[in-house]
Amino acid sequence: MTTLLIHLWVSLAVAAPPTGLTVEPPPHNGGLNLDLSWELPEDDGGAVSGYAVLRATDEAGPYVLVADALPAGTHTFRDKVTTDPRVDPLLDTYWYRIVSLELGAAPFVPADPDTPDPEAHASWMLSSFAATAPVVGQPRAVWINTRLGWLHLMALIGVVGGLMLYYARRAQQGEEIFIRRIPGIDAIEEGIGRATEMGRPVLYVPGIDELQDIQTIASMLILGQVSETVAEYQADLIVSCCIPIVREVADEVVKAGFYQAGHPDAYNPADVRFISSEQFAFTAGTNGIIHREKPATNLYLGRFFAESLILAETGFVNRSIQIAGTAEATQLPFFVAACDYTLIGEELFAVSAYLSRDPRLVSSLKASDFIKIYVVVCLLLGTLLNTLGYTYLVQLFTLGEGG
Amino acid sequence: MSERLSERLRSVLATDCGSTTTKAILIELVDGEYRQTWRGEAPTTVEAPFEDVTRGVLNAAQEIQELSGRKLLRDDGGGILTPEQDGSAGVDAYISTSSAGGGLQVVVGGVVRSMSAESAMRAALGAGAIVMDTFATNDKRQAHEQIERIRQLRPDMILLAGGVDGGTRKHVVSMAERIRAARPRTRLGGGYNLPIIFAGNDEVRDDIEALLAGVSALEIVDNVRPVMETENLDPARDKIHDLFMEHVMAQAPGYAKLMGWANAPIMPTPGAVGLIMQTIARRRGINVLGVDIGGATTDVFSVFDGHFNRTVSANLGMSYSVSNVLAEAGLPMILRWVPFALDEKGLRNRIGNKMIRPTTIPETLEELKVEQAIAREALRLAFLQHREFAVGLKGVQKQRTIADAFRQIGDDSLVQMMKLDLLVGSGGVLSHAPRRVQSMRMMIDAFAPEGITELAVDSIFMMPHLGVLSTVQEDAATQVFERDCMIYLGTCVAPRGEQRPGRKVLRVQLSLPDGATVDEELSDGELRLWPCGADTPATATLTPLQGRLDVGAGPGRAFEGKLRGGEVGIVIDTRGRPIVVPDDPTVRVPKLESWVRDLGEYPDGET
Amino acid sequence: MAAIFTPGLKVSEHTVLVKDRRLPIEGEVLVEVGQQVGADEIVARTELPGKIYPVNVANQLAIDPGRLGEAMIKAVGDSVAQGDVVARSPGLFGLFKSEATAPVSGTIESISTITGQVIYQAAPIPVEVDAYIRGRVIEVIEGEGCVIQAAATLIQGIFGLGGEVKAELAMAVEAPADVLDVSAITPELAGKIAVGGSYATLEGIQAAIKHGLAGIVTGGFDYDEIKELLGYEVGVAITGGEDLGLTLIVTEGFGKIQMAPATFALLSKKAGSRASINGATQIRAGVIRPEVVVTFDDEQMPADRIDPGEPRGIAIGDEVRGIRAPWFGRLGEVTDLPVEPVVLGSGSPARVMEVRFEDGTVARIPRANVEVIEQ
Repeated sequence: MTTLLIHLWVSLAVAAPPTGLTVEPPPHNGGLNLDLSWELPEDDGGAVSGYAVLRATDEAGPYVLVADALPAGTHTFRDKVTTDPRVDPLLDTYWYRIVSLELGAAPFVPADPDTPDPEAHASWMLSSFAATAPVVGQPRAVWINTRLGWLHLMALIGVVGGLMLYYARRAQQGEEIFIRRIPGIDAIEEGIGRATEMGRPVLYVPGIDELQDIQTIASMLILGQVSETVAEYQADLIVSCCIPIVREVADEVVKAGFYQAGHPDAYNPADVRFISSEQFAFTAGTNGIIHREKPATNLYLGRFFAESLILAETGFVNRSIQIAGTAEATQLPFFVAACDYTLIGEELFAVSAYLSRDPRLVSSLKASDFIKIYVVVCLLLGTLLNTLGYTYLVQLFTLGEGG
Repeated sequence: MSERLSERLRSVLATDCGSTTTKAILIELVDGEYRQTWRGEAPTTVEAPFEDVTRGVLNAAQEIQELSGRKLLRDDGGGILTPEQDGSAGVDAYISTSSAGGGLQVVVGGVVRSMSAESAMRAALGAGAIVMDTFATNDKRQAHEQIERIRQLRPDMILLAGGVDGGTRKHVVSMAERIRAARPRTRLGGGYNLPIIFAGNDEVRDDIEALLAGVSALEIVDNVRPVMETENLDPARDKIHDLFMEHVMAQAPGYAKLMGWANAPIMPTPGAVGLIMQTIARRRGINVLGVDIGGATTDVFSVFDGHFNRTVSANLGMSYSVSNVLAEAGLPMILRWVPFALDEKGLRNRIGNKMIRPTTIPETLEELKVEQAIAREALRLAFLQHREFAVGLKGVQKQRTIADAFRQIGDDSLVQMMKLDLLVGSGGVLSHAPRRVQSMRMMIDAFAPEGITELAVDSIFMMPHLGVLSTVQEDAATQVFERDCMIYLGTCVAPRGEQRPGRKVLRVQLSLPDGATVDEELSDGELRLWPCGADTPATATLTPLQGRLDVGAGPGRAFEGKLRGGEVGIVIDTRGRPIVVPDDPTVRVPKLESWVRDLGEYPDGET
Repeated sequence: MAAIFTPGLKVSEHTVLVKDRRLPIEGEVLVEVGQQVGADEIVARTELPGKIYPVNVANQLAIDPGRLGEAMIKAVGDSVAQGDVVARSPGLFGLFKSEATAPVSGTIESISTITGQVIYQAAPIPVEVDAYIRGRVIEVIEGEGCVIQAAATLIQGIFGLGGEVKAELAMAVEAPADVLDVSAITPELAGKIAVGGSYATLEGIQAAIKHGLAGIVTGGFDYDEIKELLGYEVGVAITGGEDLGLTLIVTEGFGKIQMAPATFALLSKKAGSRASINGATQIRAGVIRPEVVVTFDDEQMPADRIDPGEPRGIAIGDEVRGIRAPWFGRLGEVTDLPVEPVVLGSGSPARVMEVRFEDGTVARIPRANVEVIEQ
């Protein structure tokens, strides 16, 4: 008996249990998880082939097995204490023990191989291997993620919101908020004036994409301003559309613009035209308009593809003032080559704020400019620091577990 | 006629019939050079009780006759004795300008405000007119408001433009319809139809004729904007001059007689000033900016790279309009130039009293300083208006490269101070300042010249006379302009660019005609003067001490060359552009005092 | 070179006043030469063209402007009532016809087949001109108006706001140096013209407007107050059309400045009489001064009245008033007229005069800075 006991003690002493077990609720969680972490015993990877996690609702037990055969080297584990609190009510405290599994130990043989019995399994483990002393853990909901990346993001959102309010307030108080001059936008009114003097129409093409595309939406906003100016000048406007729904919306927008300018009588629905939803049929149709009606000014604002150069070249040959704007990077070179002015990328989205000087639009423009500057600075600095081996800035922008 | 005249002009009598004074000058050929030798003036006699402009002309000529001993008046009282008889009697030519009776008042109409309407306005202003109002399709007024306004105005003539040749028809016709509906009447009343000049789309001439010929004296000239890319102002401008003679002048008392005396057409005064400016700029190949500040209005003229522009700031002046300067600039802007504390309410009343009693003059030094502070703001505001107006043509198709796509053009005014060579001031407050340095300082403060700029004042407002003379004999006009008309004040040197406060800005090395040399480093915010006569220029090396400052040779580059002196000398201004005047009175007053002291603006012991 | 003086303001008890009464546009004159007219009598009448209403009828009917002629039911010059159908489109096979109606009652001014616009002119607005002063018609300008002459007391001011008003003169202060403030404005002054002294306070003027006074005549008031009263600044001294609620006449200038004793005495003498006042001021070519006019019968004109005739120069012994700081508003007597120009404190040379002021101070001041008080 003594020999047996000694033998048992020796065998227990071979695979020492982990030490320093702590059980904490993880940062930012809904209160159903507990994070366990422990320090590896000396013979981890040697005699100790892995770990098992046992949990009980009381210090004395009974323990159940929640994770088996975690590989050697594992020192953390996140335990979901209950999968559904309605079925399995959440308790205030849970007790944990970690078992060091021994290399070459005989497997547990359950009484009934068909029904797993975590409780029996756990008690077998406790009797077969060395385990830590029970450690208590209290699940607790932590709603705010205090991880650096998230805090940083929150701060940025706060700053942007604050800046928007700040600029909106300043703009509403009548202060002139500086917006960098965009010659292409200034040229829109000039182009309409030119058309007026020459007695020719202004042609507006809002791209060929669907209405829900952000560029088309931006284009519709600009069309509102353009039609208001056209009405004020009592010039003629032709809108050439590729998508039926875009035509319907453009029609409403133009009508509203003419009303706004106080010339509802000058509005003519026949000037907002649906050409074709086929890309090149549309292009050919619009080219026809340029040839026949000889607009003095062509505005191409929206999402364009292969038709960009075809339209712009035709307009150039027609000696029109042409102002294009698209966020489609592949088409920009063609527009730059063939048009008088080109709104590049983001400028397209700024037009509305630029023209209307509406405090709300202007303030969001200013605030997003600020963020852009910040991001560019961080990008440059981060590249440099990361190259030198400092990852601080990278962590600032890391939201997940990595980094 | 002028062909014949120019061959053998030995002497010229020129008059300018202003609204209060008629000024006459005598120009003679002295040792092969034209010089202005005598002058005289007399009250203008357009209004009751005389109602004959020639009375004033004869009085002014009489004064010259008495002073010079040259017989100028015909014995029969029939005007000026021409041509020159034998070196001591008569003159070869008599010429005149006129702004009596409020000058030439024109209403302008066009299609787009910044395009054809602006071209028409430029034509009218260039002809020397006062533009009472400008109508355009997009002037934010409803048609009935425009009609009401045209009815109220009583112009001397209307200039209607609009549409390029072959361009819009409906806009031009609708403008003409509005004019017709308003049935405008002339200012002077009388039995003649209002002259209307049509200088628009050549394809709508028939429509315009059908609409307006019956109700007005319609004249049709070439389009001021035949295509979007170019302006053609001369036909309209010449027609305005013709009509000014035919209709407007002919109605004014005594002018018919005066026109008979004159050997060249009588011009509106500002039109003549514009001519001489253009002549000088062309002949010397320089950019010129001129200003004439009067009691009621301030005229600004500029010739930059051959582009002539004129603006009239109708309500910026030193007497009748002085309260308006206060209203537009605001009291703080005026007070920032005053180196002592003032009771604000008292100052407003004083300015109000100047408005209702416009002929008074400043008696004390303090009054003078306040008056000059107001002048600075009047000039500055008039210049701002001019800069805004003097821009390139709008609505022009451009050939642009990829580099242009990213370019930021901040300022498209033709008036770029860095390129300015000569700044000429005239008008009482500038021409008659007790010390010339005060005029120079006022002009520097108001216009903020950049780089190297010569400054001058027109001594006795001779520019109108010389303008007409330039149509007869250009050489004579330019010779007199250089020798007798301009009083050169000196040169202003002002670095442009961002200055770091409290740091050294400019190293100045001068070798002055009297043998003295200067080698100093100037700090930010200084205003310094080195006297230097007009006859021999100073040699200068000006080295910016901060990388981005530009004195005219390019950012950070040193300027080496000659600087022209004058009655004042060479002024170096390191106050930055725009000129920084501290807001805090405890800082501002000592700063102003130091500038005044360094320039010696006011008598000793006074600041 | 002759010195040009600011013509002094006329303050004259007995003068012959001639007034032009003209219509803004041609009309009908209702009086004859020699006729006696009362101040409120209408002397001329006309109708001002009504407002203009352009409407694009071609677009309303959705037709080409060139076809507007066929569609119009009314022609140029026809009178229409608001809501009348003026044009009807032919429509398609007699269907889809549309109509355009007149937006205002008036006449059709023009029909454009180029722009498609029809211009309506609203009914004319009658305009009448009254005599303004009681007197005799001495001339009729056919179609324009008439000239009225009357024996009158005339007091010119230097600056005014508001137009013509006819009402009884009443003294609101006792001495020319008194200030006209709220306490001086009593309900009895309603409908009358109150005469103040050296200064009218903003509160005083506001109270006067509230109590329905017809006008105020004062020595001075603050330039600032114009903005307070009108809501805008008067930058150029061309006034008369202000909508102030009363007519304000300043006899001396801006600031607190005692009304000239002669002016005050004359106004006191005429208190209780009906006066015609006008605030219209124009200080530029064709000077217009604000004025207080009290007419009387020709027979009351003293026989020994001397017509002042042409304005003369200035002479030693003349009574003058300083019109610029530092002597602004001070009264004095010319004691010397040196010929040679003198260099002023400002550094400019100018011709001056020596003046002994009421308090005994003697000063040399520029001739341009004084005003002769005409008798």
